[in-house]
Amino acid sequence: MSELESRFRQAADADQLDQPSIGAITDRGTVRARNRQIAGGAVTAAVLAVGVFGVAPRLGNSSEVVDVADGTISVQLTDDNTGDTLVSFDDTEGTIGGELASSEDTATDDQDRAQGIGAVIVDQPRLCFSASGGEATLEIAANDDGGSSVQVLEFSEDAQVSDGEASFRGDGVIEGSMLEAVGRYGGGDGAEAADTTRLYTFTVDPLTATVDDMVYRFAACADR
Amino acid sequence: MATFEQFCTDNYGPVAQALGWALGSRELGSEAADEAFARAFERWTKVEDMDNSAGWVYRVGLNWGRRRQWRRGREIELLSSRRPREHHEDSFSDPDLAAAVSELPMKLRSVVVARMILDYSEAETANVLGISPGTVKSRLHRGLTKLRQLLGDTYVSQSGDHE
Repeated sequence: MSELESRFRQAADADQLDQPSIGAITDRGTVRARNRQIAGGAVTAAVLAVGVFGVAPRLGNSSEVVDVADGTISVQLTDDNTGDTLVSFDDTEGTIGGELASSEDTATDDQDRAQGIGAVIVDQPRLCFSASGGEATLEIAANDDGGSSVQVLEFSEDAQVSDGEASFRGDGVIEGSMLEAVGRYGGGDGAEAADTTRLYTFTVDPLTATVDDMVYRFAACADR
Repeated sequence: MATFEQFCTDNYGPVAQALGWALGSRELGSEAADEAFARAFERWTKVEDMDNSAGWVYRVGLNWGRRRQWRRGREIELLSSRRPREHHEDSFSDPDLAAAVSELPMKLRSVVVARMILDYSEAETANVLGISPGTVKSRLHRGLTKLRQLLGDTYVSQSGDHE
């Protein structure tokens, strides 16, 4: 064992944690499961409303989390204030309107990216808008934990009045406007969706996000 | 098949500790572990069949913690116009080592913690983090090299000599 390993080992031994309350954890998991179950119907109704009326549902003080899990999409909206799950929906591909991206970009041979999962373009981005303004965050995660990963897009009321361009920040966050995207998606067909998907086509490494990763995962998705 | 309760008893401590190291905060590590284990419970029939259920929980907790950090950092950033900073000073027994670990990029840090704290093999680490064993080896080497550089004098004083 190296000196550094010894030091880690000593620290690990010294930093033992108390056992948690397993009851509290199982209660928390039970609540999560129940919320997901209840929420599924609500999102279905919202999606149907979009389909029938062409109206973006306004879900108020909420933000959306979009998760990508081995080809499935999970949409979850949470109350920004309480963190409560308002609605969530799993396995939405083909139901909620998730579209896989198509891209000319190709994957690299970078070993680090060989596990690409694929970005998903959600063609019902209206679900993610907060009618009450403020800031909301769209997240795409790359594992099947129902959450997690890096935030890739955020928008605010101010951003909504800009022209729909997205910009990349060094920390992996894409900032961009949503208003135009809303309009396009509102009556969008496939081509229109593709035209605007760059706002949404980011990808995330589960741990860090870089623009390159985003492009790759975009491409990986197209290959699926 | 282990029950969830047994799984929790056996794995909560190591996973929470690892998350604390990876996230630079023992408190956040515990929060992340709570959330990740709750998610494991929520999907227990699926999670219990995984090759490395605890590893899955580690990864979930890591992702959740990163997101929480980002949100907190973003709030601070918005309020103070300063870049978010990770915090690593809360009650680690070896604060110099914890601080050095927190200086590593997350890609390296997650591997170092999986190998050094969770004591996962290269193959297990690769599986948990969704990367190849070769990448694990490479990141571990880079991570440990960087740690030695960062630790400098404190490394000498704590370990007695350099490797």
